[in-house]
Amino acid sequence: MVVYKGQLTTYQLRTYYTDLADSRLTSAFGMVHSRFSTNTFPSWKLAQPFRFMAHNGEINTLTGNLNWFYSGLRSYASSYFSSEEMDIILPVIDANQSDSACLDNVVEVLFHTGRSLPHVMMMLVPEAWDGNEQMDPLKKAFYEFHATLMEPWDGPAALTFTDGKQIGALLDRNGLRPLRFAVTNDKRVIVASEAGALPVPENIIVKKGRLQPGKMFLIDIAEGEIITDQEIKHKMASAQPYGEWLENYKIRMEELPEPRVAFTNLSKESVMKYQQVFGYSREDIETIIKPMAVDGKEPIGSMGTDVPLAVLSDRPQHISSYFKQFFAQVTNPPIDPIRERMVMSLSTFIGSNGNLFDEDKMHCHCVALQHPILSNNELEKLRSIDTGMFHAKTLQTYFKADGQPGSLKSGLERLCRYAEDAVDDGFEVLILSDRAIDSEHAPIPSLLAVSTIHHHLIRKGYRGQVGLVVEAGDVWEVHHFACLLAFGATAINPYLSLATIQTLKEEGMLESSLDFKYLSKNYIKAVCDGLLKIFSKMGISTLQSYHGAQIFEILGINKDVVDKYFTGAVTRIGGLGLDEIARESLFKHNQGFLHSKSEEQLLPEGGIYQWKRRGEAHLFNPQTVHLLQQAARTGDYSVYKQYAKLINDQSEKMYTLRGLFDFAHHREPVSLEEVEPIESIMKRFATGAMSFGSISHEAHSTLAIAMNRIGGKSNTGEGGEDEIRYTPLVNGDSMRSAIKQVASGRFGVTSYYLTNADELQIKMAQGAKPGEGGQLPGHKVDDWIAKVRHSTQGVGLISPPTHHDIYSIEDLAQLIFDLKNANRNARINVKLVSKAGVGTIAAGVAKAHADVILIAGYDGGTGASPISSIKHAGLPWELGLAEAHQTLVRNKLRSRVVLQTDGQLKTGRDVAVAALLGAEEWGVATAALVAGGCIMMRKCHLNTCPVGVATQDPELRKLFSGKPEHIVNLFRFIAEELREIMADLGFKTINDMVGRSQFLKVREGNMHWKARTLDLSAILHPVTNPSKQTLYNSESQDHGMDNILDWQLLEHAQQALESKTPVFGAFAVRNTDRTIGTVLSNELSKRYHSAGLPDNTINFKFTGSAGQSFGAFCAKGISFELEGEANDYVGKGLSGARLAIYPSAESTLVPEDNIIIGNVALYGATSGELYVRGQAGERFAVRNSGAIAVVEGVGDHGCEYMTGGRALILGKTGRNFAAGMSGGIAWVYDVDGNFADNCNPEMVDLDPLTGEDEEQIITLLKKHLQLTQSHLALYLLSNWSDECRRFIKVFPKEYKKVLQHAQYQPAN
Amino acid sequence: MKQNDQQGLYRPEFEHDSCGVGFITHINGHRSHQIVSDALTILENMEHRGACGCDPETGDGAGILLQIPHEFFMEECISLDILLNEPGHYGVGMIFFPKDITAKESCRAAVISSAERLGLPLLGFRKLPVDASVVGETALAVEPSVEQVFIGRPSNINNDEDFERKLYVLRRLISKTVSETVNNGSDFYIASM
Repeated sequence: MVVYKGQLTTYQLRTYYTDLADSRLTSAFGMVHSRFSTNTFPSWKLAQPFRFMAHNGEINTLTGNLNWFYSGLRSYASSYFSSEEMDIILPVIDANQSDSACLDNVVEVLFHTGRSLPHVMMMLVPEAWDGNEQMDPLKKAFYEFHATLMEPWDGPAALTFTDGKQIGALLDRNGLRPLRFAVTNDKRVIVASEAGALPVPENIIVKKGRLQPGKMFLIDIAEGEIITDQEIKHKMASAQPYGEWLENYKIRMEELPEPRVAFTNLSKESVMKYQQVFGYSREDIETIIKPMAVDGKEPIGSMGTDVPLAVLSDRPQHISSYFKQFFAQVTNPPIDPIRERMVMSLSTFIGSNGNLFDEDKMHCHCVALQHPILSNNELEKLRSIDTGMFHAKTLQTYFKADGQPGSLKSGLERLCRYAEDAVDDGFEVLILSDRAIDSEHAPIPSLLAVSTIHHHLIRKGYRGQVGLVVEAGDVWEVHHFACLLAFGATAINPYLSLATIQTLKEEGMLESSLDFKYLSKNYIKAVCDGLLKIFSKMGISTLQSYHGAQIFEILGINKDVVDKYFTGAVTRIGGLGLDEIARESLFKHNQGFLHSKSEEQLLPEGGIYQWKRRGEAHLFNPQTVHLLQQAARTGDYSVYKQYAKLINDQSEKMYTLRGLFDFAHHREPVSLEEVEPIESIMKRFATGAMSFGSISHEAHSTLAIAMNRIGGKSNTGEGGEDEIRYTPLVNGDSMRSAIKQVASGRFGVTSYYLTNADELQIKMAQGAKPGEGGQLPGHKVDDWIAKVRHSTQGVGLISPPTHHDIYSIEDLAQLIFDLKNANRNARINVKLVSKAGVGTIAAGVAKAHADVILIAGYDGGTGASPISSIKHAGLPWELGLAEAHQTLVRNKLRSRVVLQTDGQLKTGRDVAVAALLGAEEWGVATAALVAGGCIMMRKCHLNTCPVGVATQDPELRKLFSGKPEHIVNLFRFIAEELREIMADLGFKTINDMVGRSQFLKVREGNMHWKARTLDLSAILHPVTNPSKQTLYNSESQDHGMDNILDWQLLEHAQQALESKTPVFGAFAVRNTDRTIGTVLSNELSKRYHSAGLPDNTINFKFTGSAGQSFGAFCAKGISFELEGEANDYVGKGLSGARLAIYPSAESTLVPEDNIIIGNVALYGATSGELYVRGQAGERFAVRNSGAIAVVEGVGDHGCEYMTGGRALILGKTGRNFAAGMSGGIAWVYDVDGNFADNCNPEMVDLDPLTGEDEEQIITLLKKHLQLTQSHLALYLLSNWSDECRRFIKVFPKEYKKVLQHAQYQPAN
Repeated sequence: MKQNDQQGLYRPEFEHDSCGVGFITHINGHRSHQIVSDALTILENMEHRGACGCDPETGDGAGILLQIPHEFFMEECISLDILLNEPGHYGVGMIFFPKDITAKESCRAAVISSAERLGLPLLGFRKLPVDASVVGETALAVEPSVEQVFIGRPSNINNDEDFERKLYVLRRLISKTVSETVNNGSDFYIASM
């Protein structure tokens, strides 16, 4: 095979290589790839295809996959290669290449060492087998056996592959990339990300389909046949007796004999001592451990975080507080671990991995676990294990508590020696234990211990031969467990948190009648659920892939330590060395062993999650809150200055990175009068995205009025906006939010809503809980909120973790295009959360044509979020903003976008630092709320806000006392303080100031023992600007709208728009015609608002393959017919229009057996109708809240998160139907009688039809027949009395309750 | 410092990519130029799934994987005095050489010596005709010199799979040799072999 590729556009390839145009150049196949990267540093070799495959997707767990691959290097051998050849081949994977290229290297070596290509693909990208009861046992055994050998290369993937004789394609278990195929009667198979990519006459197509999640599609061109997923996988699964091998050699924990030695519990006194040594606080016990044990749930918090970063805190920190969780945004989607539990797995194996290049039944001789948390009894069983060839060794993880430099280092070195010896001596399990400590010997932080051994053994080529089990006292919250697993622990026994629960129980400190056994079960369940949430945040489905994947950025540990002990992890601002880490440990150790002689001792207070008098310091504390409110109410700038001084001056007490900076003077000061006026500066302010629903109407509209008065922008948040706010008030004020947010829930996102925006913000992530969804429980959804969100009063609403139309960067480009079509006067803003790598993502977003990029800090406020997410996910904005600015400048993209930042900006000084680091616009949310009355009670998630800000309780809302002028005062003060700083630094304009990081320096004389280890030069790194672009936004994006079809549609619809006269038209379309009808709807909404035009006023017919987003946000009065087929996102955000789609008249296919529209149809639709003659892809009607749809079959996750509307499914559904469906009704024609197996029963009942249902279905069938000539509809209507029995009504439980309740209420 | 190296807060490992994929195949393996052309059409119709940076003429990358077009190579090679055996009895490597002539020739030497070491006859090199006028400025700045290398199958190798494995070892050996012995050889790349 031969590959022609380069850093070319798709059109250049054919011309660049003149070979390709030569008619003598022939092949039986051609596999193509077009690349969209976040960045543009040119490189020809990054182009695809590679030697065996092309990949659309992303490997989320690459670091782990590479490490595990290298971990077995010592044992790799193959009969197909001599040992000399093997030396040449190893280490197989080239350095410095893309994730896809690494995957290709592994595919290649596994193929050449004797496995077939389909076999290799099944190993690397397995289906979700764990817990799948419907899967063929033969196939399940194949997957389980191979799971003991290799972890999945996890992440969204559409893969095409070939060895020259077979060619095929595969989707990952989540199916997050589209792949459509067509088979023609002249023996060709066409496969592409989009249908219609190769136009062929409809009458020669004999089959149209799509690849489903986890499925494979193979053509054997040597044999001349198409092989189905089932056939090929059956063949692979029967090649060896995998099931038998597992039966004979797999070790099950429950089958292990009882331990030889009994486990000894810590005495009560020891529990206290150990808690001190390992750093427990009273808050940890009260706020974290108790709820986990009692309710089995992780606790919830609110209002962000404003305590010092771990590296700036005076209090001794847990080592994992320096580790910040990664999360997915833009380039891959997070997963919903609750509603899509079926793809997730916590199962894992302890033991040796063996020789990957060989198939050996002994590969599966290891201990299988359902999840990685071990009870005390399980740990002891493992310690005593002896199968004749499987044994465990315990290593003590301590260091000398002498406070001497180098003590921790020698402790680690000793540990490495012992570990290496133990592997040499043939042990399969190493247990790292920190129980044996005393006054002279302190515990090594377990995360450091496990990672050190993990990397030491990888370097020695030994890691694959052992499992690492951690028995540790310093593990109690979910984040601790996640860190351990990500840095190499195979399983964990949290003996001290279990002992803590037992003590609490025995002392009667728990409000629960459960016994210890249940409490510990609850606790472990909470840990497991929390782990799934952390994996899913990064888009990772399985523990096996997460294991060793190191998905963290380290903030505050120096590079030497990281390179040596956390090899490969990212750390960018330096920080502690080993001796400082030891010092922090010893501080706690001494509390336990030296200072604890007195009787009345207490654990430290904590005070991280809520301000406490003796606890950790908070920037917003009673004093600063009081001063700010006083300043805002009285308009007294001098009071504001007192407040600002308390926040800004961090020379004594440090909180933030910006607190470590000083301004550097390079210019003569200018007078204050010369600086641009306050009014023009205030236009650059925005408030944060807070939804009506999380805060009260009073608070929300007060913010809006204030921002409109100063020319800034307030933000709707994700809850929609009441239309009454679009009309200005009598006094000239306006409650309309300039920024309309488009979040994953798409609540209230209609054409009219989008039309009423100055800016449309796509929320990719939220600082307080990036990568997570949210939930508004039914009792909070009152009639007003329900109306604004287009949902039902009393029915709960779920915001999915991801936008279901953004699984990758090209998808985001598509949504930006959609929104620009929906309102071309609005700026499109993409909100990202600061993390390592946000700069390259920002570059990709700029290339996807966003107008504004917001970099939000991790510390931003929230109505409700798991407290571990508030604290441990994401980074301060200083890092993200600086990285984004630097990367955009280097890519010559900076001048095309506005950069905005937010996250606990509280003063003019904060804003000045933000401007110098690259932001020309700024968001201030928490401080604005405080100015409006918030007193930081942090009770937003409880609906009991005592000042009427974050509550929907009518009585509490009356207590809201904020006025727009208070908020205006705050912004005036901030702007004034900023102007003073500008004058001092010699800047007359903001534009002149943006991105000039050389005007910042690290404050001198910082002697704090932790802070002085930081190296902030990377943040202040001045960017070279060879192309002389501006460092602020100065040019507009080309949105590529010049030649869209909608301009023709508008022309044809002129009469309808002007005089409501019905119009008709016909147009030919192809897959490059995207987002059809959206500009038209924007124009319609401008004139006719949400009411729209009478039905069937604008009647257009299209012929061909329509591009993505056909009919997106189409408004009432529009009626589209499409003869042909469509791609993804049909009827996205449908706002009242009617769409009918049916196959070409030329087509000879049976419509109901073939796919006609792509994935994610009707996402976020609020009203309108869709009739589809044929099948739809995955996630049909996801988050539909009002549209009515008829379709003849759907893929996986049908009607997910639906809250309203009706869906009539006249054929098969995929798995997980109705997951998270809280409202609306679906009727399913259960042809095969197995629908119940495919439905997720968590939230819905499966009911028989009522008479009313039958009437509605018959009406819909008649309409379907009339609009699409569906034979199926005709058949059902003609045989209704027989066939009606095969219909099932899918009825959400909560919705049913509300409807039934409403029936008994008198109408008013 | 190389442009791609870490600088400020940027790290090369943060890069992401994503894209459009596709293929067309004849089920019975009938070869034609139409298939190649159709595959390129599929690619072109997914242009909107790719992206351009600051320079609109520079794409992020595009490519096609094909079976070895034997008749075409046969005829092309004749004019270069390279005699190819029947299909399956030779292999083709698609090589991106650095533009710098010294580096390029050092890389070429590595290709030749590696083939020799493994006992694989090197039949010759073919410089690919390209039309660089269409390529964007940014891409042009790092455009490689693309050549194909033809490797013969020794008589002691009896089947295609074993020959493929030998070619795989050869590719690994060449890459290692170049990275160990050639300065400025980091742009050297074998797209396929």
